[in-house]
Amino acid sequence: MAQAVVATTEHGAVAPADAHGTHATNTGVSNAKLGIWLFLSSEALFFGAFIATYFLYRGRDAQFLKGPKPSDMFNIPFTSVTSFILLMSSLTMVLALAAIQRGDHRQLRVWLLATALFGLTFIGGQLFEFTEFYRGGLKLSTNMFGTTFFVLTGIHGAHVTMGIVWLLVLWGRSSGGHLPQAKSEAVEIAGLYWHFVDIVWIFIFTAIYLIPQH
Amino acid sequence: MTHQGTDLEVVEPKGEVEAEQVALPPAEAVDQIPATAGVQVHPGPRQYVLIGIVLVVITAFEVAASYLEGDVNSNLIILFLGVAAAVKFFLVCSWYMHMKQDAPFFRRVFLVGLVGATIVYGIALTTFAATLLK
Amino acid sequence: MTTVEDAHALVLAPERRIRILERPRRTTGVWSWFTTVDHKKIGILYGSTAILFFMAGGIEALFIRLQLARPNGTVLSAARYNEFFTMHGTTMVFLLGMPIAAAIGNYFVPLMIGARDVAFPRLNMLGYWIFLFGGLFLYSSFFLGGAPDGGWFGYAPLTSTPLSQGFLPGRGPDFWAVGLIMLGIGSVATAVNFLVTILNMRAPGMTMMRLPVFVWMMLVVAFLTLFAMPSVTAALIQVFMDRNFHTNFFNAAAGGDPLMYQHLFWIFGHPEVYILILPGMGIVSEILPVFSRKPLFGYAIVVFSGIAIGFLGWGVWAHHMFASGLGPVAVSAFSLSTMLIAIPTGVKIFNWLGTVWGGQVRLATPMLFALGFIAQFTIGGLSGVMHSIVPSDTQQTDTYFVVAHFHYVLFGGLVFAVFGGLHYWHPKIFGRMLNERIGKTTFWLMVIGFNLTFFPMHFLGFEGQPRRTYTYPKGMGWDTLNLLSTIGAFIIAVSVLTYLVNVIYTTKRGPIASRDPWDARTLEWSTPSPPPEYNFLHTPIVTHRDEWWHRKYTEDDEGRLVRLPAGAAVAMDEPADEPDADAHGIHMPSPSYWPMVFALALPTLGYGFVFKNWWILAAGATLGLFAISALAIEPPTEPEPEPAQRELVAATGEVH
Repeated sequence: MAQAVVATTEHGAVAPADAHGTHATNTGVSNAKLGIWLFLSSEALFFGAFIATYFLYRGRDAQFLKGPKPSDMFNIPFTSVTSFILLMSSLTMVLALAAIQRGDHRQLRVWLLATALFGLTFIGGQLFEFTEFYRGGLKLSTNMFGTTFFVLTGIHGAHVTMGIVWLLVLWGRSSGGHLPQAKSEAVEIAGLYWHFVDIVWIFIFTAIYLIPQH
Repeated sequence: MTHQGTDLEVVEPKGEVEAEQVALPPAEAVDQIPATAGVQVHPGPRQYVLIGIVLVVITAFEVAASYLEGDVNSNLIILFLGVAAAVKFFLVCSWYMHMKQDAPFFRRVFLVGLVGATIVYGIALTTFAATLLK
Repeated sequence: MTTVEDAHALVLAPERRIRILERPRRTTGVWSWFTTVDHKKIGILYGSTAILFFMAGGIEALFIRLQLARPNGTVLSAARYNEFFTMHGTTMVFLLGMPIAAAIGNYFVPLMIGARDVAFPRLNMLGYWIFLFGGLFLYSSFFLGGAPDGGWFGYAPLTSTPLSQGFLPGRGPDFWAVGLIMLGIGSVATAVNFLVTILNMRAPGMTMMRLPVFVWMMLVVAFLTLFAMPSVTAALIQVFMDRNFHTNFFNAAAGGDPLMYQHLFWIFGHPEVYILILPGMGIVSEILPVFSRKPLFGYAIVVFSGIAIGFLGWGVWAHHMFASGLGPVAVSAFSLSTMLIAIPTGVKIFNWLGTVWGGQVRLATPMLFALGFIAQFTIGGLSGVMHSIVPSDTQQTDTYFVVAHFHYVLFGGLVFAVFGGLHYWHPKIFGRMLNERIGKTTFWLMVIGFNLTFFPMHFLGFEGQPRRTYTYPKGMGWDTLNLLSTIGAFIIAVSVLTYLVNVIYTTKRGPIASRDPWDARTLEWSTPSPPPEYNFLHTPIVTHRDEWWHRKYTEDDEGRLVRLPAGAAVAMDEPADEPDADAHGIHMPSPSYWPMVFALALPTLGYGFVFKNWWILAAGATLGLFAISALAIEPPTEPEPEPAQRELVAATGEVH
């Protein structure tokens, strides 16, 4: 439906019937894509709250409960590897999207699975890190570092996990032949969520692990 | 043949009655666009991998920088890390999330949340600075 | 369908195999109310549920007033009182204020913009179920160890200290935190829905500056909701973690700072009050022009003021923290921004007055409520400006002066606007006129009762009566005013009862409503009362603001209204005996079970968290995962049945 052909009757102007399938929108962007961008925008405020909390309490342990410090606990090389893996998962995600957009469903599934696998590896790395810290004497309740670190990265990890499930469902749908090229937007939307979660990690990794603590 | 992302907007037909010019993309770009409705002109796999490599390189530099604590002024390190994170953010957003190629509307929507969060939480944090400094 | 596809369908879409979970098709009948995705039905569900919670909150208020009617009251113990005032506030804000806007917005935004439904109909339904289950979850706490009792704002560390350290024994604060997180998810879903609907689904010619003001207000409210809820969700998670997992977010001994809770809460809390009031302002902006037979005075300014309020509302939150020790710099900055926000608000008041001035005023019930709104909201706004002045606020805070202020804006403002809207739109929704005499009785009783209840509180506040306290001693000089206030509260209760009588009485005996009983201005009045499922037979093409008015009237050379011939006024007429969408080739989204099923997962998870029961948590997570996948996988609209089927469907309302 390009130009609206206005049919005038004695009842006043009426619009022609909507074409099936393509839904014209006022802004020219699809409903679902607009929806996910709005949601991601709100997630910025959600993660922002926890990141702001982290920054507020950074360094306070020296004055109060003491306990394990980040420099005692962090294994930067290890976390760099897991961060690298998450970063690469963004690449595989966008390759998956490119695949379905050109109609290559086999490649789509390969890259979707790769993304999910990288995500799982990242989560595995997080879990390993958490248990190492716990064994090193850092619990949720130990001090401010324990509280803010575990909750912020835990919530991020929960988001990654939900993303992995989403990807696997997409993979399953594609395997069943229910994800045609015409529905590539479904992959795009999952991708937007996935990239966002990756971006949040870019910030968390930099702010929490890399920035020197005084 | 990969096609560089441009600012072309292949808009869905708008609903306005007043004869709104629907922007038609140039012929060569049309050939690149898959049959799915509303799909913009996107970079190809080669571009994506290239960006992936850039991201990894930046991360490597970031990690290296974190080990310079003590040797280099920590404010400098923080500045570098901040810039590096911002660049990575920009790359993933613009290219992987297609923000560069898609409708500017998405960019604005996302920025509202991002900028809003920074300002609002930033203000909250400064009030603590005030009490801490007293 | 080939056999391979069949097999795939069985494997990957288990819901097809199980007959019970077959996609419902009926759009009539009792069960259809559970599976509907029709924005109008959802609006009615939101509205009726919100009114039920309004009454629950009202009963809590009556108990509070009974307790405070006399000094040293014995109606409620201190602990009970804390539960009642906490639940009263929580109910009114989250289970009345936000949902009633969702109700009216749901019903009328699509109609006002010329759309057939919202952008995401099943997400819409999901929002309702989350609201209902969230509210029930909150109220179940009364029977499961005690209701929330830390105030509707739940300040840490009162709510966040672990159970063992016992400031607030019992699970009340846990129910509160988890319940609000749940409700927040529903609110965000609904916000996204409204945003996408208003931005993307307007009829041809319906530019943004031709939108009814109510739609504009819902747009701003949706933005506010979207960005405010995450902040409070974070705060609630932190409170819950502190309380149950011994984290240190607000543990001062560890370096935690309860002030951070206040920031995170009020960064939500202040936009929240604009979320509450802006729909009311939108409703009033619809009613006043109709009952003054004049267009809204300064439409553009009213719209921009609404946007400005939404924007500035992000910069004032710490005015709820003036007495918390922020320091003079912060406090002065927020004082200034708070004063600033009075400007767009005041501008709107003048525009409303300008609308009525010189108009042909009809004092029907909706108009009375709208005028009451203007007067009472202004009073509440003035006491608000008094709060913006920091030295004044330091005396006023935590006294009944604050209670007076926010009840004037939220009850005298929002609730009056809502009752105006309910009386205004009732004919459209239910096809029957409400009784004018009872309506006016409702209004006058409410005005008298409301002002008698809350005006004395200004004085009580200045005389030092603290809020959030369960009793007061004799000899403070507060007795008389408190008693008057209690009497007023019961008058309010009577007025609400008259409204209910009105609704019930006119269900069968009310005069049948025409499509446009008020001679109104906006597109929803162009449809039959009530509208068919598909809203408009033909999507309207819009050429004016107040499009419906311009199809009915034009102006002659002297500016007098001239009624256009009936043919031009009749828009998209559909014969009464053919309301069936399918007969006209209009495909509406299909009903679905999954929103309800997914919504059930949330309180399950909620109980799991509150009672720290891994089995319940696992059950909730599994149910949620399964349901959301099914919801995402099913198509929004099922394929059309065969022509023979179609007749059967039309005749009986169900698929055989």
